[in-house]
Amino acid sequence: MFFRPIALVVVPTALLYAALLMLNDYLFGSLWISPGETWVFLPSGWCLIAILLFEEWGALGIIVGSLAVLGVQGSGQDPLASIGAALISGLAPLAARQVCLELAQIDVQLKSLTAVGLLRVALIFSSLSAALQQCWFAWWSSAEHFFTQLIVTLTANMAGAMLVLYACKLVLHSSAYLRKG
Amino acid sequence: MTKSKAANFSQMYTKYLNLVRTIKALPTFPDLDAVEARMLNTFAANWHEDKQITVLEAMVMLPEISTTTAHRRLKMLRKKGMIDLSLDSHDNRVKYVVPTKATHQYFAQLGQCMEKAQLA
Repeated sequence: MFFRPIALVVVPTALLYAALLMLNDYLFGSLWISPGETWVFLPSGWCLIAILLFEEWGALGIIVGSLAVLGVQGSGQDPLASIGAALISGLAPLAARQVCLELAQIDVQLKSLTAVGLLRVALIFSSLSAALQQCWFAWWSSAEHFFTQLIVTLTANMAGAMLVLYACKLVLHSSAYLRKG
Repeated sequence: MTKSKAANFSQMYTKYLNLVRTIKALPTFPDLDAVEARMLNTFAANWHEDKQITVLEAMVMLPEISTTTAHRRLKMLRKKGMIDLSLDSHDNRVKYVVPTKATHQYFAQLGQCMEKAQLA
C-alpha cells in the first residue's frame, strides 16, 4: 500500500529533480555567484509542478532527489547545513502551496487556477523557498549578505520556474501540432 | 484497486488535466493594448483584401487617435514583432506595413478562441 506512491511519485520526482539540478549546473554553471548559487535554478519549476500535482509525496520526492545529489556530488558547505537546505527544498514549496490555497484563491483540484494565477503561485513558491533557504543559512552560519543572496535566490527560483513552465507549454503545443499533422 | 485508491488517482489525474490546461493558457504573445489591437484589426481587414498599407495611410486609419500616437504605436507594434515594414520596389521612400508570422499566429489563435466560444 505504501509502495505504490513511492514507485509512482516519489522516485520519478526525485529522479527528475536530480536531473534538473545537474542540467542546471551544466547549463548555467557560468552564471554562478558563489558555489551552488546561480541566477537560474531550473529545479524550482519542477518543485512547483510536483507539489501542485503530488503534494506531500512530491515534497518527499524533492527531498530525496536533493539528498541523492548531495550524496553523489557533495557540497562545499557544512553537511548538516546542506541536509537542512535539502529538507527545506521540499518543505518550503509545500508550505507555499498552503499559502496559495489560503491567499491565492486556488483550490486543491486546481480547477480555478488561471494562467495569471499560476504565475502568481510561481512567485509565491519562489519567494517562500528563497526566504526559508536564506533564513536557514543565516541561522546556521552567517547572515552576511542575507538580502543580496535572498534576491539572487528569488530571481533564480522565478527564472527557473518560468523556463520550466514555458518549456512544458512548448512541449504541449508541439505535441498538439504534431497530432494534428 | 480499492475505492479510495481509485479516487486518489482520479484526483491526481484531474489536477494534472487542470494544470495542463493552465500551462497551455500561459501568455506568449506580447501584450497588446486596446489601441494596438484595434490598429492590428484595422490593418487585418485591408490585408485580407490584399491591399497594401503605407505607413502614412496606417497613421491616419484610426481617426480618433492623433498621427503622433499612431506613429508611436506603429513603432511599438514593430518592436513587438507584430508588424514589419517593407520598401516599395519602385520608390524607396514608400514603406508598407506588412504582417509577420507572429501576426498570423495571433489571428489564428483569436480565430480558435472564437471557434471554442461558439462551440461552448
